[in-house]
Amino acid sequence: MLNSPRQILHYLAHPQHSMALTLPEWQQLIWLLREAKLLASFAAILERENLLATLPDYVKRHLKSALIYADKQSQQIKFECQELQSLFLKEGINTVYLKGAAYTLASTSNSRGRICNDLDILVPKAQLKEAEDLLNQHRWIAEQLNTYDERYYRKWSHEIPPMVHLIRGTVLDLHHNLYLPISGRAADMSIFFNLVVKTRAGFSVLNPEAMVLHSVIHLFMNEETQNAIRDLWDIHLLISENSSDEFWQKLHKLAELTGFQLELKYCLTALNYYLYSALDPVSKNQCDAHSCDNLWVRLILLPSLVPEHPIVCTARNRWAKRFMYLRGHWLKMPMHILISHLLVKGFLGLKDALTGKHDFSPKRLD
Amino acid sequence: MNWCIAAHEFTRFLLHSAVLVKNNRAILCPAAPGSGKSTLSAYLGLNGWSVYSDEMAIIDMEDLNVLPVFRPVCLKNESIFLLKKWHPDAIITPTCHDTQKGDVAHVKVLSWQQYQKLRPAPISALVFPKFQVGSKLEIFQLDQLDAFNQLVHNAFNYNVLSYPGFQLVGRIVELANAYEVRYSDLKELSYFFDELVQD
Repeated sequence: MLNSPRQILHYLAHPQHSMALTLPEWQQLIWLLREAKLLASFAAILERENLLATLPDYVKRHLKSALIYADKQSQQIKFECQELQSLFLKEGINTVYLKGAAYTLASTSNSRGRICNDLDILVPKAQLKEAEDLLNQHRWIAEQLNTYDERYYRKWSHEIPPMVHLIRGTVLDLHHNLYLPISGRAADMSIFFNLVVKTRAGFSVLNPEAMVLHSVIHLFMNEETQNAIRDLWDIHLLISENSSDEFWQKLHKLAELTGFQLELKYCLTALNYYLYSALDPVSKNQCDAHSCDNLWVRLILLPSLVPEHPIVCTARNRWAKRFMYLRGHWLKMPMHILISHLLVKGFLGLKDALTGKHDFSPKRLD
Repeated sequence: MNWCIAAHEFTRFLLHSAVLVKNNRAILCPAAPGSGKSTLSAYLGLNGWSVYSDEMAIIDMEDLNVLPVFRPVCLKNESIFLLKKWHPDAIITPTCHDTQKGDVAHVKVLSWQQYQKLRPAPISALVFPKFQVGSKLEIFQLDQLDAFNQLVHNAFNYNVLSYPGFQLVGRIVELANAYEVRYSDLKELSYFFDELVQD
């Protein structure tokens, strides 16, 4: 039976080992991978290794199904990005595609089978208003938020409120930074805008070290740990694709320049813990040299990354996740803003609980 | 359970439709909620037809056969009363009142033994039913384009299946005649259904 979270990534890294799984073990693995949003990624790996055809029908059906869904999503991402690209190009707005969209557009080794919730794009702050207006004119509409949330996004966040395409329902996050400016930890974006490369089809994405560092920031500065294992797997594949002494040098330098060395260390620690046997020699050396080992890492950071499925997520993991949730908020905002934020959120939550969700909010009634 | 299938099954075409089978020929009745699919399924299920489903057709992407699902038919509101009147000895669960869909009860149309003998069946006709109080039976034949549009409109996973889904729906409308029927008397409608599956 599967019970260690490390086993999930073990089968992704060594797909041939899954051939020995029994049907009940497969059932558990499918549950876990689906929860971790890695089922289609696993299917893509098995297909690439020509292992999919030999699997039991039950397994094959779930894996193929997940892959069909992911492939459709990737097609949709390319279509949406094409639309956005022609829109922004005409107006001379510099757009950089981030995260899932960037993986798909750049066909990185983690892209096949990867599931996205939304599209993330980045524009220079100076062009943010222009980009937003342009999107508004082309059927991208922000969901109506309450005044507090709206102000939170506008004043403190690194992105504006999510926009939804009126017809297709695609969700778009428009960023002007990679992390919240209010935290005092946001990077100087001119550095990242200089680390942009073009894909063959002409889309701008971050270059390998900037792409990896952004994923690291996203994973280790975040309050949500729901997709952490998936994000760690992304980073693992992006690293193995590029691993060389030169790449690692550049990555460390960028982390130092932008003030995310500690997060990079955490990432190497997590890779060391969850994926050591799958790492290439250069990355192994990096992990050996830069992993940190202390109580906080062992008791909170590493356990918090497991998928939220009862097979692997025990009470201890859930406490670690709660702690990470608080820590994520703590990192995002200075103390006085955090306190007022929690008070307002708590009050609004209580109000919703007592009087129903849309009692005072300006939601349209339709 | 419907949600689980609709959210995860993309290796087959899923259609919001009743599936009624006789002589190894399947009639699909795709329609919106409230158009009488379930009442029709329960009525025919208790009159010699095999109900493969009263709400979801699961269609194989290769051979276009419809797969049976072992589930009771879900009756709503007045149809519970009507069915009890027509078939006093049918096995019906106690009525659950005031759900999202109003009053709901489930009726058994297949035993486990009967279900085990069911095999995937080829589609022989598409019937888009519309229940209308007091109307006479009216049957209109649809052209392939209309049928195509209706199938896509009632599909659960057409948007995910992409091109293979487009091809599959095209093959279905080529092989099966499509009709729109307006009815109020199920007995009358059942004669038409019998005609459709005659050899």
